[in-house]
Amino acid sequence: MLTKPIRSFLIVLLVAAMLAACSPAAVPAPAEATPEEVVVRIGTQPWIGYGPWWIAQEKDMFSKYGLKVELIDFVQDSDVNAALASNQMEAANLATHTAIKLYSAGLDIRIVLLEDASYEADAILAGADIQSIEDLRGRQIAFEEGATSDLLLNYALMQNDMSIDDVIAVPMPASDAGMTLISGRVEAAVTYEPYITEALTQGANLTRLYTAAEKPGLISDVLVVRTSFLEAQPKAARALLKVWDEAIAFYRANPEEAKAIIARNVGSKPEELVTAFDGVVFYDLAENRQQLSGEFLNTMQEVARVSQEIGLLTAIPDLTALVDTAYLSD
Amino acid sequence: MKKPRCTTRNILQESQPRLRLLELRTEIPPRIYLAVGIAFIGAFIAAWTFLTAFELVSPIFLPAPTEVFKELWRQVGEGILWQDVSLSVYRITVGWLMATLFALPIGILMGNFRLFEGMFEPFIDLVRYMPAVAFVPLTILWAGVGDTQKFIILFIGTFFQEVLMIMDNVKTVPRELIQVSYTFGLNRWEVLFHVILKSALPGIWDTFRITIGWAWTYLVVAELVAASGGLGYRIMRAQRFLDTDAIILGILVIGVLGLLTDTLFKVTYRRLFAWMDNRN
Repeated sequence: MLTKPIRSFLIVLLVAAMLAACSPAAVPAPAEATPEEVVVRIGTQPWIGYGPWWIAQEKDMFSKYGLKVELIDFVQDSDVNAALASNQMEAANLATHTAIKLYSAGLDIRIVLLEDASYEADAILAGADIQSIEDLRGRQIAFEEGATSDLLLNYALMQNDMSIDDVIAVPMPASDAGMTLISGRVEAAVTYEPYITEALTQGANLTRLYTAAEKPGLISDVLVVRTSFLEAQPKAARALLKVWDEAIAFYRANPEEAKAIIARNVGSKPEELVTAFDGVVFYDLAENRQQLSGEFLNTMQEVARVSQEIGLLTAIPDLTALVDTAYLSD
Repeated sequence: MKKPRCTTRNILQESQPRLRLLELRTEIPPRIYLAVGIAFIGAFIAAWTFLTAFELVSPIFLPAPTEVFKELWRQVGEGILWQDVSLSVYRITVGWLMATLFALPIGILMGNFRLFEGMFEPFIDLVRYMPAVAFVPLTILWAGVGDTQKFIILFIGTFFQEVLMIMDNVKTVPRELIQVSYTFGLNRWEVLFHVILKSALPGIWDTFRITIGWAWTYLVVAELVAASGGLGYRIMRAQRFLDTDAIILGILVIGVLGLLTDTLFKVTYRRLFAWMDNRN
């Protein structure tokens, strides 16, 4: 039998423990911000097209707008999606088709910015004996399913009246695809920069068979923001896009320094990325005001069509409702 | 003073066979043992149904059990599930057998001879901390994109731990047992094969059970690259396409298959080592 003081002590302890367990789980970041600061957590991946955000971070472009931006690194699409879906981040850099997919899955997000489009930075690579898409028939091709590579490969096949059933799919992460091709274990591979440059420098006979430049915008990236954040912090959203504009301006004025910053954050050396940068086109705010409500909407329709073809989408959602151009200007 | 009290208590217990479920380390009726296990799984599924039926969580995070069942129905109907299961079971079996084929003799040598322990242990201790997933690109270079590459990943994931566990199994054979055997005039090899190995075998069998379980957990890593079938591949693909119901289905199927392999080893254990119970 416990004595009374000990028993009451234990009860207090128990109640305290229960209260602690009930209080909302410690979510970092938001609470730490000073009142006038707005915290924006942006999910990102080591891709050149997201580079301007690293420039903005290193050149401290956020703080003058009262923004406290955290760039959260991921290496896989699926993980960014999960973190965004579970409200761990306010915004994310996503490939256009991923944004459409998440939107059609019921996520309350808006595309507020067209960041970049890949031209030669996404490509189908093959050896000298493969001269055309037609030659891919019956060959082993390494590519990442459900990702930009899947989109590009299927688009290329569709343009040549073929389908994925005409080739032998060897699914793997894009980071492994180039290396697998060099080692001669597959006959073609679809991947993106910096893996393309790596593959081309090491594999003597490899060439770019087909690139994303064949259909500009098919492989592109957008900034998506949660609708709840846009409604609560419209000013911060506008400021965020202004920072993007400044970072693009910096990139265009000081290409050497900007590329060095981006290369460091992607995890490569600048000289390895020379051709990679040539394959990516960035869009500043002025260009966004033209594209986002115009030509890009048509491109998105095409992206959605190919996504449906590869089984990523069951139905194409209303894309005009997904895009919100209100934050591009004051 | 203590002894009489204990006895009274024992007598009391036997005279009134009241069900004592919370007695320390005491056997309970098998019915109850089974019932609480099933009840817990039932409660788990009920909680899951409750959470999804009232949409307390978004279907993107947690699909309803019915959705998962529909996915199961679809995969069974299209023959995908059977294909995946047979592919994965084949890969696990071969990968694990490869690991065991090497782990068994090496582990036995290491457990019995200090010479071999000294030779292999530093190397194994070094390698066993290396993450199997980091070997994926290398295994492609070494073995290509076929099934051999998957076997190698499963081998790396299980072999190094298995060897050490088998060594420990052998070492648990009591020294007295060995000394008594020598006293009875057995020679070294007779002691090794008839005493040490026989005595260590139940422990080794348990090691088999545990390591094949690890092989199951390495399945997703093994099927990360260049697989176009298999349960691990199906989960990964579902992740990329954000099909939560397929992810959960895949996890459940792996869980059930793991449970089955576990049961298989437990049942054979009871059959093979029935003499253990008689001895105690």
